[in-house]
Amino acid sequence: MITTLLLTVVIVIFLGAMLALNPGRLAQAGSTSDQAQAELAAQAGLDYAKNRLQESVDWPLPGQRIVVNTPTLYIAENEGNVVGLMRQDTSQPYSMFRLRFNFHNGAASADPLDDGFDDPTNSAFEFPMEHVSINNLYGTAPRVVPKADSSFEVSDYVTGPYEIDQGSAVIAVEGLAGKGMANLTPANLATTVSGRNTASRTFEVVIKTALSDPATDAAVMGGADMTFNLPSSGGKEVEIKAKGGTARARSKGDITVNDGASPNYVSKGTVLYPDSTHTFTADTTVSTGTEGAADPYYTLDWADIHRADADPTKSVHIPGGTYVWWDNNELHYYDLDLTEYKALMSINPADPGIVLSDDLNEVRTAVNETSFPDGIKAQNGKFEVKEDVRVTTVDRSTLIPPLPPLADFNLIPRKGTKKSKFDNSASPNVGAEPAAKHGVDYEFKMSPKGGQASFTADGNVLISSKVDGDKGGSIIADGDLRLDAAKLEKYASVGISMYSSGDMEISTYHPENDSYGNIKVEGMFYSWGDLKVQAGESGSPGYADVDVKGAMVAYGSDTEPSTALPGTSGGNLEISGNKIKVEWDASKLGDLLDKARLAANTDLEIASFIKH
Amino acid sequence: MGMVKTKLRGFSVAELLLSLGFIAVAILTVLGLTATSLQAGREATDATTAALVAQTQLEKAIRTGKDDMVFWNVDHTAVPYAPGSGLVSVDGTTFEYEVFAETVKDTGGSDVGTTVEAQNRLKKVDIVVHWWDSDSQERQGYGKLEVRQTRLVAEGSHD
Repeated sequence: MITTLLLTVVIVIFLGAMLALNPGRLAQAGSTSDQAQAELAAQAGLDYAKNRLQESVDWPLPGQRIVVNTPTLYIAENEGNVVGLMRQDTSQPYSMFRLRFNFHNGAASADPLDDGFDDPTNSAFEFPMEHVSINNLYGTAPRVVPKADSSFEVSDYVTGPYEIDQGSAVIAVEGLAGKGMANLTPANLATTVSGRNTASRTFEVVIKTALSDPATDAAVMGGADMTFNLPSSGGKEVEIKAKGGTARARSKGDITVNDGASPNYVSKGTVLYPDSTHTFTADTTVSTGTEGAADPYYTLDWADIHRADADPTKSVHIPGGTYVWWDNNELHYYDLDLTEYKALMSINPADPGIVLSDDLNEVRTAVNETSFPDGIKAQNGKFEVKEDVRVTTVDRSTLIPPLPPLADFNLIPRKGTKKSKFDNSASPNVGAEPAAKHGVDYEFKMSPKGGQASFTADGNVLISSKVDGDKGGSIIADGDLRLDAAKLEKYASVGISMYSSGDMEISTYHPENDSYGNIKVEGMFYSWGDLKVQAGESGSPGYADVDVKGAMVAYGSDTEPSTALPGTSGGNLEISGNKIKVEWDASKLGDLLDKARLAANTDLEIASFIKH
Repeated sequence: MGMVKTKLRGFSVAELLLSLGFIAVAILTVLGLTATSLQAGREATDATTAALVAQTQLEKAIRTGKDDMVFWNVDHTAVPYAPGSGLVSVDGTTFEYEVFAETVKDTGGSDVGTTVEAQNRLKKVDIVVHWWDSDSQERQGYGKLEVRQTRLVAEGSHD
């Protein structure tokens, strides 16, 4: 009997062990499956966000909307917060993804932290997530990525764990799955059922825009010859760098580096040129390769570029002509091109033209002025562009004698302008007027209010003054673009991009000092013709440094149709300076692109991926 | 002095039979439980493996499908996406998997994400993994022998 009782005890122990272990094993299997599905849900949320951002760089917009509503997939957006429920078929429980751009800190209008959203209209969309998503794809400056506090409100936007660059977004997405979500439905977003587990995975992913272009990336591209001029003594070198890629210089013709140090070309990268002449002494980290005639360059069509609208209710409109700063800081307008203006000044140097008010209302229509009262300002020697500005073509056919249409824009000091010591051809130096101020005494500044502003002319553009920009600004010329920028630098780089369908010439010559100023710019320089950047020249003292972050392209052909090969008509790229540094930066490549065309011209790529 | 005789009494037949019965029941119970336990363990192991198979094969199918216009242009709800379907054996168990995919449409019936660029679609991709010969039926005591997983995939996604 004792034996029997002992056996019974053993059996009970076995039984207990079985009962205890089996559910554990099964639960473990279920947990593995839930974890896997939670991870897939997070991945689904990430792909949904990428899909929506690829469609619109402004996503998500304020408001509420149900985007998808099928028996197996439901996605809704509410004031910047997004929830998705998905399942394989209707017999299955849902898994969920959710992400938040909303700071949960009150109405947008009274929101000191400016997330741009009111709080969600449905409290079920106030997700208990500490990680917040930030869209800075179209921003003009880096943004802090904040973290929510213990009540899941973002209360401090000044400090954060890290920053993301403009041209980037961080997507923080949580995936949830498991038996704890058994009651989950579109009408009930509760994620927990008492006594049941919910698996959760969170991804924090930084994505960035990248030009979707078949071209091999390069900091400088020249459709014809590429020449760098350094001083013969005391000069430094050409340095080609890349932020997050291979540092390349690509030329369809010869590559020459004149003078400078030895070596005078340094780069941890590649120089590509056809089987023709090259003259430079490279350091040991530079490799060379062959550039094929048919190898594509970045192709930015006219239609891809963000330009000021031709509709006067959609952008500031000012007429083509010559705008002249007088010494008393008054801006005078002449409906003449530069040649005509010089001719006028030689006859009547005191002709005042039209004296303009701060908002240039004398040459703008009432409708345009009402639509954009603060879009442009010319005040105290500063020409400031805050919104898109279109230089419209002036019809002069009714004048006696009739003159051709006027599409050019010239902004010069009354004293005239020179692009180099030896340049007299384009220097108005008009009449015998005793003007004293030079270009360096005036300023042209791009201060985009809405993240992007384009100064667009249907003809040539000449600007002679200091040039400054807060990023997001661009100067577009359907012709030649010349910048006699007496100053083109500031501590944190001038943020500006330039595009011309003709040649582009940028000089920092300072006639008063007979010297050149430094160039420190972040942006994209894109010319269909030649591209020349001059911060020094042989025979003139005072070489200055050139520091460009972005890319410089002298395409050397009409980019329309986009199949046109680079270098078929020009495309010389010439840069002169004491030290010439060009750093390729993918985030700047899209700076010229129109917002509406961004989706078609850029891809979103993952820059970093953290699983929490 | 007389000797004390001790009367030794053995188990009765009935007691013996009762004990043997107990022992037999006990042994059978233990064997039964062991078999059940092994089966449950196997089921748990297979379920874990199936989840991993589902995850792996889903990722494979998505990687293949990203550059495959058939994946993007054809509806794969009735007939599974062929490159994403097949058999795989792990530790003696054969898992059969099928991948289904459909383009996600918004409440207005348009493809989500395509207002600017047509090649920016979103696919809902499902995988069903089943093993042994259960297919869609349930075997008594084992539950439904299948794992289902779902995710969304963005076209042109670089990850």
